[in-house]
Amino acid sequence: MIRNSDILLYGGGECFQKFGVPFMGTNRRQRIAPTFARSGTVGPHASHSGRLIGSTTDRLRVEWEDADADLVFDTPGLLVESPAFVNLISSDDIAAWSTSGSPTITGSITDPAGGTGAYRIAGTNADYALRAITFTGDAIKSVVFVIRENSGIGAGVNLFDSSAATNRLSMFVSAWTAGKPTFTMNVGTQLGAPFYKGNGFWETVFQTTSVTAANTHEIRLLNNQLSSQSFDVYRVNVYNNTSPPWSILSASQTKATETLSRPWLHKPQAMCGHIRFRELDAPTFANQRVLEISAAVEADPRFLIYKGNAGDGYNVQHDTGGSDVIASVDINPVWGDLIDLWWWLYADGSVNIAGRRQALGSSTWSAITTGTPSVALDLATAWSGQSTGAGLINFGSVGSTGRGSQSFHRILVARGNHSTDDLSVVFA
Amino acid sequence: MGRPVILSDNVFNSRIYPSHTLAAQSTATDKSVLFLASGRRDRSLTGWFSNDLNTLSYVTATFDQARAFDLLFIDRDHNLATESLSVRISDDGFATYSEIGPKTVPSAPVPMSALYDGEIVMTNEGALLWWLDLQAGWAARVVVAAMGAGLRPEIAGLSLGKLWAPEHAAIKPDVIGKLNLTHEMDRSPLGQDSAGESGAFRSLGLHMRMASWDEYLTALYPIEELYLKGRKPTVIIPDDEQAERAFFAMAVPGQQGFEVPPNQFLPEITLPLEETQPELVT
Repeated sequence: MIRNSDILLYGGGECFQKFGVPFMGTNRRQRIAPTFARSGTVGPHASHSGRLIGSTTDRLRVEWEDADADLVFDTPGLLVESPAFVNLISSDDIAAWSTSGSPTITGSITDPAGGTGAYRIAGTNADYALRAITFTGDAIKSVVFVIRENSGIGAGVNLFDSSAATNRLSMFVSAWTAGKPTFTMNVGTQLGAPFYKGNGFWETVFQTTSVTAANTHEIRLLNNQLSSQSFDVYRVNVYNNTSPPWSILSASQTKATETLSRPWLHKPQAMCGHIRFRELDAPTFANQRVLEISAAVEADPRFLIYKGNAGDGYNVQHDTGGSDVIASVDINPVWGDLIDLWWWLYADGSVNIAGRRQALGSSTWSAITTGTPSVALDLATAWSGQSTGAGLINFGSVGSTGRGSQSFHRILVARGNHSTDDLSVVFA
Repeated sequence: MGRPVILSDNVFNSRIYPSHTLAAQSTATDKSVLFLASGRRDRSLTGWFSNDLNTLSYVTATFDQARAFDLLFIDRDHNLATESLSVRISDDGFATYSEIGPKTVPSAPVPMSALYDGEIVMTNEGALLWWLDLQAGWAARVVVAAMGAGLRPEIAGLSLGKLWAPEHAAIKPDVIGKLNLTHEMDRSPLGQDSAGESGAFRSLGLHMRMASWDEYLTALYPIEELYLKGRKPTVIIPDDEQAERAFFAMAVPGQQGFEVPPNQFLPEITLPLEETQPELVT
């Protein structure tokens, strides 16, 4: 059991259920708003009603998820995304795309944002809309497809390499089940299951095979396999990244840096935590932050949790400046996974971490995997910035160099060292 | 018997949230959206009236951080019966927004109204309660659709906030029906009584035991900070399965608060509730 006085921090989307704010406060004086910063435009996020809504500068987005596929948006998260995503095509003007054959493209179709920004595409076999696309860098790229059933099956996307006369991505809807699409993959990979985006629309994320940037490519939004059918499309976004952002960006939107932090004035001590978040960044990107106790990027002494360089797990690190110790847990996360991490900083300065994952669209957790404790390392007398009142605990991106994209459902830090079970039941 | 529900939070209360920005689509002379949280229960004395007739009208609270709320209360002495009501949430100044409703305001109380059905409940004295499920964002707007020729919304009091309800039902004795009766009384030397003006207001102590120490933490802000120490106007729903019996209360003087009784392990409280400005029964 964890005593009230040992709860050093509680926050995340689920904190709204208990305290009505992103981080725990028990009276007005303690209701310190988190520091959140973001410049520039940003993609919309899902509200509790399911409608996609926008957000202005410096406003932390509360992303509501339909985490259990019951078409109800009942799981809130604090959405903090990396600035690194580059949307390469405009998909909110599909009527202006080129065509092959004679597809019928109708605008002003109701969309998940409460507007009429979607399109209905109807046609027969080999009718499609297309748009040229230019990549930077030879690599796997990602595609987001947001569609709604109308009539028949066969809605799909091809990423066609005209130079090599081959597809780098090819897939189509082979079935609709209560409005949810099932895709048949010809080329490329589907990341996780389709997930609901409101007003009948479902989002599905795909990865291409590796593209050759010097070649000529076009994205083809097509009716495949069938003689006649139609479907509604809200977005077909192509990112110059191996995975997309969670936000469904429109043509004019890019991703700015988002930083989220809280004051952290607790001294280095034996402590532990439980953090649940949706993993939303490139699986292989090194140095991706989840949590960091530090006044500034890489300012020592610090404590951090980040994705391991190999991209197949998470590390916990205690760094006093002169020395550091690291423990790792290998749970093979992929984009869109819901991740549970439990971590410990022991009184002797050693660290350890445990974790599990749940695939997007699934309700089944993997077994908990626990890492191997690190060696000991004397605790510093204070974390970076702590002694001057400038200490912070940061989530996701830290400044412009440390990056991370997550939607934080639960953040708990407790004094002492407790079991995964004890950590999991606080405020449960 | 259901659980009690307490609404002491109010994003429209500038005493609780001085950093919130309150605004309205339009406001009649001598009225203000600031008055909605005053706790006075008479629209001749307080409240907000739209200045425009037969126009979609609204009041807006823009928060100082992302906040959650789940219960709307509109005090008695409004003119919204049979009108269309909705609540909008936005993070971008209502360029885009999420909307709950619109729903039609009932014209009369219905016995055994369950709060969590999500329908608008009219209380026995005419106030409105609407459980919205949990919503979170940076601004909330309460919207009244155009009411017809010559009409405009007139609201004496309004609360929109995060409710608090104990995990377990209140502990017996069940005191939700207790009233404090008062009379002006004259008695003649021969013992003949002559009753003058009489009154009755609910006066009871709601006894609750926390299910865990975690729950105690969640109760500190709405109960200790806002209701007791802050003495904020508070909506009390003694039984969420009979929400029409809700009443309006403010804390009374005296020693009160959470305690862990001898031989117990969890905090308990007997929350003193005294109805404020009850409707006169004639």
